[in-house]
Amino acid sequence: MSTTRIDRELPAILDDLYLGPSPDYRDEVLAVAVRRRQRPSWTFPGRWLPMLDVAVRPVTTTRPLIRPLAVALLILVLLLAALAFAGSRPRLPEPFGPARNGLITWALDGDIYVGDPATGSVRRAVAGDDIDRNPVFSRDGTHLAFLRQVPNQTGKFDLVVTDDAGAGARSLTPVPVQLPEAVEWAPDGRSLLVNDQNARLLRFSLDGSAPAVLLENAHLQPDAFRPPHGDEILYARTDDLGALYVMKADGSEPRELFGPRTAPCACALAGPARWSPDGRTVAFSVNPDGLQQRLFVVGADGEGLRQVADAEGVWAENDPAWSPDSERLAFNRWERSGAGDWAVRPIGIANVRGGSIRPVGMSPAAEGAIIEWAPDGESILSLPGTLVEAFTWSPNANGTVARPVVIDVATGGSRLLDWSVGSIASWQRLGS
Amino acid sequence: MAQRALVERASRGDHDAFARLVDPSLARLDAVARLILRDAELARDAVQETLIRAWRDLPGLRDPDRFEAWLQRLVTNACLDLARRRRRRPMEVELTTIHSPHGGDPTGALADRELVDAALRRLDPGHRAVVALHYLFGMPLPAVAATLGIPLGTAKSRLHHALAAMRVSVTADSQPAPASTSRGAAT
Repeated sequence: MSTTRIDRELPAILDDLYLGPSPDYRDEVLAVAVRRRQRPSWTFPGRWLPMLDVAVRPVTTTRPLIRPLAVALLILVLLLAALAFAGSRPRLPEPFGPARNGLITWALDGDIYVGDPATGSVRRAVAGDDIDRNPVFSRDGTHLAFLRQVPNQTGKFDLVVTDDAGAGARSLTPVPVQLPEAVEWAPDGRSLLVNDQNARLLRFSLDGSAPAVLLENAHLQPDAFRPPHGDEILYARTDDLGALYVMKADGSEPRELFGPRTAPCACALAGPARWSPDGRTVAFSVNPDGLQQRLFVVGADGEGLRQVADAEGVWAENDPAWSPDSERLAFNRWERSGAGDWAVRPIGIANVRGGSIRPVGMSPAAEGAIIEWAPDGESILSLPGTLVEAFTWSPNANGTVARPVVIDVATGGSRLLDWSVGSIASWQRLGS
Repeated sequence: MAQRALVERASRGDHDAFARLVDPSLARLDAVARLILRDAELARDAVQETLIRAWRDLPGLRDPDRFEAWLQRLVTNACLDLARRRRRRPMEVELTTIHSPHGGDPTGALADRELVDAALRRLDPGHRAVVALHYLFGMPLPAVAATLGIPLGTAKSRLHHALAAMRVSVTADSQPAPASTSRGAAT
């Protein structure tokens, strides 16, 4: 092809190469776009300050009295507009308790995705050569934190934070963390706790201040910060297995919340513990007879230990997850057969005040489910438990790629989402 | 319905009006995004980002007649933003199926397109953006410069560089490969 032909035919060639029919994702992107809230027109200064016109119009002299009045009026209008704008901005949710459902985030093949369970639409939020995994939304839904593998350094990870759309990535770790096992946002969204492979509890702040080691020999519990202000942290100790501890958020004043030595039963902690969203109670599993695991709750002061529900038979109940209103617990269940096998059963939901256990959804994988309540408390996101076992070992948790299930709490029905998920997932909380 | 009326309805929250407004542009937005980003998945992300911003900020558009140009600016910015974020990600090229070529020798026309495409692949996103705006959106160079926020001289030099690179590439690539001597004498 001659060079003059390139110039002449380039528009047609580019049309041939790139221009097709309307893209097949048309409906989806339009649906995603119009779900957003439009900015009111008065929030655009250009709509009510005729800046361009002012710039080109000849300057006319106004009478001295009118000019100051006009300026004062303009200032008043600006003040009113600023007040109205502040009032119209979407409110952030409280860090705990019911909230509006936002997006769900997860990792797959080293990238971070967000998806809308209502429409099924999916978007890659963070892409690149880096291997990213295990994203978690901050409790106000405005930020994402995830782990980024350091190239050529096995088992080393940076803690990276972005906005909720995946933009503005920055690392909070001046020195990479060795095989992090848990990441928890502080309720105010200003810092995160990371539990490393050596059971150290590290705090990383978004303001760039130096990381701090809060505690050693500690296992951070899920939802470890005590609501509503996060002034206490729930953890277990590697040198005192079977007990549950609480300390101040700065690492001071540790105290035992539950332990075999002081418990009114011959029992020990048998699984992860969680604060209720109202901060009054902690739920966890204990082994009351050396064979079973049963769900118990205890008050924030360590008093009032009691079993949540007593189903007939021999059961292992574990991995409690609180509903946002602190009224119900969803948890994994396995039933022991006469032959001695443990068979997984559908997720159970129990009212924390008592009553029977209600199974919901289809049976999860044999390892149980990762249970994540929707912020509005009306559904549950269920993922295979295998995804959590290899928190940092491989991009897709030892090759596991799963389709998430959304369970309607009211009906117990399951809906399989057409997403490929390779990590734990986190549901974004939105304000009203 | 006239574009002006659709803009006004869409800016008052009318979903259908917004869909009708952007529908005629979607294919070309997608084309520009794929040319700049050379990754179908990222191009989709860029178009989605464009529509989100367009919907959100539409009430602030002062002149409804500028909607098309505004959309073009949004998609270009979304692409360049994604390209910056993508950094060293390997390029995944997915081309539109090439239909019947424009007259003449079909094999030659197909080869022309492949050569141009290969040449574009070697340009950086900033240069490809100039090519996309100028040739796919049909923008005059001053408008290209304004859209990209660069001086007119820079836009001209980028286009010149892009075309020169394409000419060199096409000229070099279209030379017949030297006959191999390792297979012995031709029959």
